[in-house]
Amino acid sequence: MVVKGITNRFSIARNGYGESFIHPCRKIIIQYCNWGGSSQGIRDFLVSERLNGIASRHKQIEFEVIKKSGHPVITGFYNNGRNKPICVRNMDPIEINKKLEILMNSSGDILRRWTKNDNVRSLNKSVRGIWSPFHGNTTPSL
Amino acid sequence: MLKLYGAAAPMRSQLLKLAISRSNVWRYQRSIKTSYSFYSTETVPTTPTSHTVSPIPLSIGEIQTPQLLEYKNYYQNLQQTLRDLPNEVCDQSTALVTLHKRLGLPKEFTTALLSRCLTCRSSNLPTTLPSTQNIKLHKKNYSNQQRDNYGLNIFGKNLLTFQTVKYLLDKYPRLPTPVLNVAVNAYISDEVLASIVKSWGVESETQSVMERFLRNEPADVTLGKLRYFNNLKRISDGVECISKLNFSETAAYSLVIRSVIATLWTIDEKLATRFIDDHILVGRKLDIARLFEFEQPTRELARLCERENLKRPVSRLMAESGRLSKSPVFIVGVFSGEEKLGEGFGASLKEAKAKAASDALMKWYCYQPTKDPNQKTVIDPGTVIV
Repeated sequence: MVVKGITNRFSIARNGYGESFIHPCRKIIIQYCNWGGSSQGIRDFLVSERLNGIASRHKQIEFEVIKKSGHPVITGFYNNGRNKPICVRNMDPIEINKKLEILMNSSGDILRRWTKNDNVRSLNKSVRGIWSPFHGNTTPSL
Repeated sequence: MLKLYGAAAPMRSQLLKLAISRSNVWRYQRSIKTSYSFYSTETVPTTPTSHTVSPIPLSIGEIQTPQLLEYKNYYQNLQQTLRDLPNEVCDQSTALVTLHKRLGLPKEFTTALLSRCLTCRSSNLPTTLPSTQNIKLHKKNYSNQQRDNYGLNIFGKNLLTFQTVKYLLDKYPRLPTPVLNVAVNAYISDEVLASIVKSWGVESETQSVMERFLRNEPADVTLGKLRYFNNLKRISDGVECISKLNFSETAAYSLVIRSVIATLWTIDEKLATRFIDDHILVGRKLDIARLFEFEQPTRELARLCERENLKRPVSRLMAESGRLSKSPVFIVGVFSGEEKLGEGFGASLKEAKAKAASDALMKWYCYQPTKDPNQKTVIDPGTVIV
């Protein structure tokens, strides 16, 4: 037999391509201090109804509240193994809510600056193919 | 276990104080119904004030201290929970409930079943605590009553292999056997399955029972993690317990997805096939053409044409550029009579010719039938033997 198969080539993940989309953020830890003034905002946030609503709207994310001295920090844990901590010292509940939204909507990837021409990234080949000077109408028309 | 429901709004500030005084962890989404709760010290013993950290639990018969008794209680409670996987405790596990939601599993797929999928046989805790004199872990010390994913994995593996081969042969009926095997492996090898399970956000339990006891961790936290190693002994300072029961992390992770598929199949066959399609086959990309390797493409193409009663393939130069330059380009087409079978380019005539033949062969092997029901089924006469 002449045809051989090349091993060590694996299928590539395309999250959300089928009917399943796995939300990248799996867990958020909210760390606050009961004493420090910088935690006043997060204490107000925790006492208010907000987190209840957020947790019920995002049932796929695990929320954990931890008391620890120091500045308050909210940390997102992602499926790619990375985590994103955001310090929320001296922030009011509205600002903290915005930071939480950032964590929940993030893919967990590092922040990159994409160049202007990098708008489309695809695993698929170009539909039109690559232009070739040897194909098509070879006689130039003026 | 102290639980506070959403209706208990006036208690919230009180709860905050409680959480502060005991420096406990508040966990949201413990179950689908309750909004949040946090654990108190009723079911689990309090953190001992002084303790000796030992990777191996000491036999209770020899030394009697309150801390050891607490540890024994904790150990037995954990073991009991892992063996029985009670629904109430599983519904309390935030990790399990959120994983269930993330995967969009049906209601019949209970969290207890999901937890069972996360239990490998190697995680079985010994029934008797080994004594200090005899720290050998005998096999007879392990009970077989634990609900693990052993059987589910075997069933799931067969289902998965069947579905993958079916998918590939439906799509590419002329795929040669070596390439088919490689393609199946590219879809469902342990590494791929493990990476899928990791992308679901499944964590593995890496802490020993002693460490969990010292952190005062309730049993439901363990239930939400992948348990594949006997955590009685911990890895520290480069010293690792190697036993027959131990196996790799990748293998353990791949067991999870196979057992989830098997469990879904027991609920509804269609659910399982859809799950396989979404997460393993259609949901992932594999370029079949990149799996081929031809040794003698021109010769193989000639044999193929002979077998299919086509005219002998002839290679013709279609275009060229810079024959005498440093970087020449040749475009060669391979023809059977008037019909062009394939085309290739290369820096030499020989290379372009081989590429053209490979292209023609690839078009034959990677043929995809249309989804038209009137089309006859393709029966492949097999690979070309040179």
